[in-house]
Amino acid sequence: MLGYVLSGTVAGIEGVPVMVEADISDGLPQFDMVGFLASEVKEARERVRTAVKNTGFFLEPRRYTINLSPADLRKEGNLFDLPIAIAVLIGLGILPQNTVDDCMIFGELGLDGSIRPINGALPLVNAAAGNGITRCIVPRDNGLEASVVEDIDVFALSTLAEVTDYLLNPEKYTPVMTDAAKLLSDQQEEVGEDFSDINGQTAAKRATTIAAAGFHNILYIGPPGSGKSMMARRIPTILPQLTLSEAIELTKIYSICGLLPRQKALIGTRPFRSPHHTTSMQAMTGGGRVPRPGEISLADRGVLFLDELPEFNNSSLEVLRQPLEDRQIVLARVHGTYRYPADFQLVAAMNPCKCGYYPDRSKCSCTPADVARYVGRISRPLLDRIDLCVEMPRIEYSDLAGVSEKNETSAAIRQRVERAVNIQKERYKNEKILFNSQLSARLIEKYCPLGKAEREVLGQAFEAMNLSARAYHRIIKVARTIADLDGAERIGVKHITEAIGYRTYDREVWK
Amino acid sequence: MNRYREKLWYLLNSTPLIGPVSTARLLEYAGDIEELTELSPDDIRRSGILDDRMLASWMSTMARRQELFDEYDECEGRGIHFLSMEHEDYPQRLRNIPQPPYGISYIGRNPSAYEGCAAVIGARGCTDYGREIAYRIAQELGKQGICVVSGMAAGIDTASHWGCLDAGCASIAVLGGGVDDCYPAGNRRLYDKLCREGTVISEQPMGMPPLPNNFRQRNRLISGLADCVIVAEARKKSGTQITVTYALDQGRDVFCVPGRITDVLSSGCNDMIAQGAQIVCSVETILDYFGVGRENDKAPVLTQKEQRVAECLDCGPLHIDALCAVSGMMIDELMELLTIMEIRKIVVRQPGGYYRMAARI
Repeated sequence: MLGYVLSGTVAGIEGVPVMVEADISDGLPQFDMVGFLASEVKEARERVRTAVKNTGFFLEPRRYTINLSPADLRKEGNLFDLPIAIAVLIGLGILPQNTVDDCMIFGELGLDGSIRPINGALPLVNAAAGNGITRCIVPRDNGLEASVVEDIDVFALSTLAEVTDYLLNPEKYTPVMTDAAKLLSDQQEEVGEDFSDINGQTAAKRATTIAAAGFHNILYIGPPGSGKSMMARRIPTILPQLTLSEAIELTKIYSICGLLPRQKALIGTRPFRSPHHTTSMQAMTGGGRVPRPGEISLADRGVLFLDELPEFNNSSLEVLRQPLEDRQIVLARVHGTYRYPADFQLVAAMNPCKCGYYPDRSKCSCTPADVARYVGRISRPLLDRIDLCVEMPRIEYSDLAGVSEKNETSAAIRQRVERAVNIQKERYKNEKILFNSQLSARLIEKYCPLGKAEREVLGQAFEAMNLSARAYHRIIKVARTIADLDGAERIGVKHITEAIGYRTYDREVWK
Repeated sequence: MNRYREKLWYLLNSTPLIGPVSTARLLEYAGDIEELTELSPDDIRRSGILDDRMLASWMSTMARRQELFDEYDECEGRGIHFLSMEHEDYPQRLRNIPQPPYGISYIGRNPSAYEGCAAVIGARGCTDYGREIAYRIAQELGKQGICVVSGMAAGIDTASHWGCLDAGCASIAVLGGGVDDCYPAGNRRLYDKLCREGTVISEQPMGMPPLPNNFRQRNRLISGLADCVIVAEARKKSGTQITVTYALDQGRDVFCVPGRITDVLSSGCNDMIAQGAQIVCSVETILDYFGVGRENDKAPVLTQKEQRVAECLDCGPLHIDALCAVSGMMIDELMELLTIMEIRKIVVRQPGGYYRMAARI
């Protein structure tokens, strides 16, 4: 007899439905599994047989054939144990086929029949809902996570026995109910770090506000202890709140990495990832024989912070260029192509020179050639993608003493940022982009027209400060964001002149 | 000039390890350059003037004499001129110094062509202040047609050369290695410009790398080719001090630019002023020395806001954050203002995000 159960597997960050078929026939006792399976899936055989036996069912010595369809899609993961067990029970006639109608099932089985949690519950349930499935059975610990998806009932069960009971008596069980929107806003109210923690650093705070408003990449240059990483860490607190769909996208990524905390259903705050400079290229982009999302995907919708930028391996930095352009990363493997979102904001920090104290002559003996060499280690194409650069001074003792009440809070800054973000959303509604930082040269022509006075001052600045041609577009983009923060429709001279101030590493001074 | 003798001088000049002191002694022993080249190795050994290494070096030169003669002939074609002390075009200023070089090579114009020359020297690891002062002084000198001599080293030397060249006047660079070797490599553009529009000169033979030992000797030529020496910035006990010592031996006037007493890079200059060097508080001091004057260039008129910033920067460079706090202006307004002031060259932005008033000297 045949039994069919709907399950799924994760490809990239999306779930893909998989049909589990179990056939039980006469013949020498065997238990075969086919369907382009990874080795951990093949191991399900032992777990299923033992779990079924320990739940109290008798496994007749027949010829069992399990197929996971479609046969050209590689199946990975530990989640097929439960659906295979159910399919077998259906094939044995213990459960009627119609009990699993319109239901997606997944979970790992322990030898005692308990259902263990899996990674990737959210994308799977999301895919099920997307395909019109109305209910799903998930491990207990994945219940909260899966329940975020709308239009599908999630039943979170703990043992194989419970599952069979549910299937035979569905009315005894209630699905997990979660108000996703409320969950999200609850999480976002948690107060952790705040901009008001930072004293002084006026220029850096201003630059950071601009960076947040236009989703510009930013570079902080300053001596050790000047607060670069402290500032970077607080950027997520001034970025606009995550929308529900952004939160779901982020949660999917974290779910498939197994990084979603068990008590949390949804990631509510923008991530802040700070990989060490020894991080390999693969860990950065995602990869491995079986690709997992890398740092850039874990920083999706948030901040990827590269501290000590010159210490990073150039190859690790090179791989960032494409994702910065495309806002996703595509990993090609023998088994298929995986596409992970990588819509992050790049924030970098570095010392001005090797010892860190240039140009303080009492502490630093680096010559301008030393400085140029140190800065020269960073790939030029990467620097080109950084729109804002601000230099932070050494912290004096007086700055450390106590937190001033006058410091603006993150909430206040966020309000201004959100206003500017909404202006951009409206402006680019007919384009594929969302932020000023994503403007191409052609779109700059269209959306950032400059008047005569503005062009003139730009020309004068180029002459006087020896700026490079690359700087031209970046200054305009930043000026556009400054104008948006100012609520101005057109870019004015003052916006341009302020934007020019953030072009440090482009100037003669560094050469 | 006697071409054959010039070639012999060229041989001597191309011999590593034999410098002016040994040359003087050898000539005294042999009497004349032609007789020196005819001496056998044993004769020279017997004189006891050269040690074994130096003798080996001389022998290897003699073995290569034809090759070196050919090299001499090729020089002209390559734009390199070799002058022995006997040559009529040998720079007059160098003849009068104690221990003049017996042979020099140069690219570009002959140093004798310059009427007024001032050496502007200083530290390699200089501050922005020093660099700017050196540039401005050199620029003002250049505007008056006074040539600037320096060592083409990083820092003050480079700024001095550029200041002079940017004013449209030629500049002389005295190198520690051969004239064909651009050191430091980062000054390639400067080197090329000097070869075209000024002079690059050295006592060392071509192909000689810039060995540290030769820099001390080189410094006597910097002061030697100039009428006076101006020190823009120096620490105590520095290479610059060596040049100043030579300058005093050669009877050249020494001028120093003072600096803040807390600044370690001005300590050498301040010290020398205390010991009697002439103090330079404005370019006029140097221009008066050369007997030239300049028109007063008008100071730019500052707006009220610019005036406020100028007042804040009165006491020295400030980081933009500090400037924001002191001036009481909002950061965005301040940044706009500073950019405009930078374009108008009223302020200068220093590395680290610091701003200061542009030097008006």
